[in-house]
Amino acid sequence: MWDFIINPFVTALTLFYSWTGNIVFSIVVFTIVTRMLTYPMTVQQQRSTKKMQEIQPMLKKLQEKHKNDRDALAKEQMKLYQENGINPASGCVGMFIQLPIFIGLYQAIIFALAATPLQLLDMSGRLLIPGLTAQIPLQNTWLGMDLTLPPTANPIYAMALPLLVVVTTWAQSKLTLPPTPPRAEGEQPDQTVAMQQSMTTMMPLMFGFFSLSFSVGISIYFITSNLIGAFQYGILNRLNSQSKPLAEGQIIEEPVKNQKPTKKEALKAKR
Amino acid sequence: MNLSKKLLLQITFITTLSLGFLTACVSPLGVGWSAITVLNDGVTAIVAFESIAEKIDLRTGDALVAVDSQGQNQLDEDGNVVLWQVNGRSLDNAQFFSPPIQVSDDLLLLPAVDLRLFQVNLASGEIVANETPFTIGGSGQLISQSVRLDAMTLLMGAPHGVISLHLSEDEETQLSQNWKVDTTHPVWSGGVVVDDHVYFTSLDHQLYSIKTETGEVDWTIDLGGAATATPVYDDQNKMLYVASLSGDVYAVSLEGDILSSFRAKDWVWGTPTLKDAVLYVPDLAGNVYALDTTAGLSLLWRSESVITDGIRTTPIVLEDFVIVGSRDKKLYWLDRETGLLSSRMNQNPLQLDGEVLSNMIYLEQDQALDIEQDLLVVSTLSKRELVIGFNAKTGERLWTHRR
Repeated sequence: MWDFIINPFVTALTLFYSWTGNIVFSIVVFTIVTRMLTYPMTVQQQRSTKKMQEIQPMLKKLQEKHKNDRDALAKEQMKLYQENGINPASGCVGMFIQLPIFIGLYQAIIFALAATPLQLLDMSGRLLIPGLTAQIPLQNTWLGMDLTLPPTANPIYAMALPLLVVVTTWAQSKLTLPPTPPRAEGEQPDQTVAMQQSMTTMMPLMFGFFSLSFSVGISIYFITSNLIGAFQYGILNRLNSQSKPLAEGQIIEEPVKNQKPTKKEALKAKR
Repeated sequence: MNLSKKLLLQITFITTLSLGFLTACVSPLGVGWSAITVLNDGVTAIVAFESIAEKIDLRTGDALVAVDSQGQNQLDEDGNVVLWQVNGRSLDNAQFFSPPIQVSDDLLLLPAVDLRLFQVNLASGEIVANETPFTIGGSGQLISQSVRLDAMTLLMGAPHGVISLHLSEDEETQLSQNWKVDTTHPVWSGGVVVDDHVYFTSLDHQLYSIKTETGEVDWTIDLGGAATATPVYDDQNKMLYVASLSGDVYAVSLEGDILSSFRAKDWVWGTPTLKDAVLYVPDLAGNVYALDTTAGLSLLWRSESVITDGIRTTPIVLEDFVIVGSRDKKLYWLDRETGLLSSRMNQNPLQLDGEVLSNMIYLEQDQALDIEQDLLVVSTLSKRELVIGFNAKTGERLWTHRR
């Protein structure tokens, strides 16, 4: 089912290996290339997050105004999103597109490292460029670590990798989420902000936990991907740092592509 | 719940689900496939797969019971017979892939993937030595099939090399290392012994010629790709045939010169079969090639796209048939003259429950051994059909051994 993603990825990984002669370098190069290819999606996701953040004060007011009428609140929220050109699902869409890439990448690394007869057997037929077979088997040890085994089955210093996964995932999450505006005195904590904060804590721990059972090669992918992601988000945040939170009733001026006009707007335009 | 909160919850949920899915999708695969060793009596075999090794009767497919030192069937506390079984889970999670080695009438060496060699009583299935099992040094996996050089010497592919082991039988069988040859990648092939040399291939792309006495490397040849197939010796022409994952098949002199070659369409993993000067070579695209060894490995025929997935097994070549098992979960009887599906089998392959990856066993009809018909023993990856016995000439299923 995943072959149409995995096979090109396995081929690319092996090709990079034939150039670099080092599996870790090829994982790093491969991760950089895939992060660059998915950069437009990262930008879109970041913009969506930022816009959501910007309309938070207005959303809060709407929640207070319609706290006893859920339907009205939903309608007003949708209206606010439309007026500001926000697609609440756009963050998810980006993620949905990136997930198959991530899963494909994960499996490609497993196949390319092929530690057991069954794994090597499953590698056959996946290399789309003739001549790459000569690279098989890829050297799967690095700094005394077997990249096909989890950190727990490697020398003790391999345990540093899950820790690095936690730290870099946390750094990336921090940069992904725009800074929250300071809370006024006596103001109730925002549930969304609280959830974002808990995600920033939970996700790195979760990834760190998974890294304990995944092979070391995957940890290297996580760390590289997180560092590049953090770098990308850092640049985006710097570029966006000029803009200020919107005042009530203010609409984000940035033109939104493919944004359908609301019925009201369409009628207005007709007149 | 407002939309932002819903969205965040969805993202968290999707991420968790995906990571879970990811783990499930690519949970560590088993090491390999079952390894079967036919014991010296010619009718019983040890089947080692994953963490269990068991003893079966090849005439019936029945699991055999453990027998005590008095020759009596072993019984458990409830009076039920105890089956002959070595359970790797009780041996610090030992997994088995390399075929077991019969050392004597009552002793079996059972190699575990994690480089341990267990000594097992062939009657009772109990681990003989109470002390720690012999462990091959280094890190890696024990994959290859061992070669019995003489009564006291055993050669086996070790992680990143080949190791010669000495078996001493003073009071208790002891293992000690004679020599070790290092390779840059693991050795997964078996070896073939010719005179005082053993020939191995390695994942490091080399064919090795090693002096059995000292372990000195005589010569190596680059095969252009990793190799897993055991070299085949041609006694008539005094040469070796060897294949690699590059798809190349070579005829090599015992002095290390490449005499001729043939390029298959895909990786050649399985060891070819030599019969009547024809070399039958399987590849992982599902092709079988018949090569004329008297004419520089020229192609006699190639099975015409009838097999839909890779062939890892060594072909069984009978008078009229070439029998191969495939990853497409089918067993094929090919006409030996043409490579087409045999008309005597109504041109139908036999459908199985799992992929056929283990080498098949052929036992000729033998009244003295109570083997009533030519028997083909096939093992699949499916535990519902772990081992199956077929009539080798008609394809009739005779028995199925489940786990």
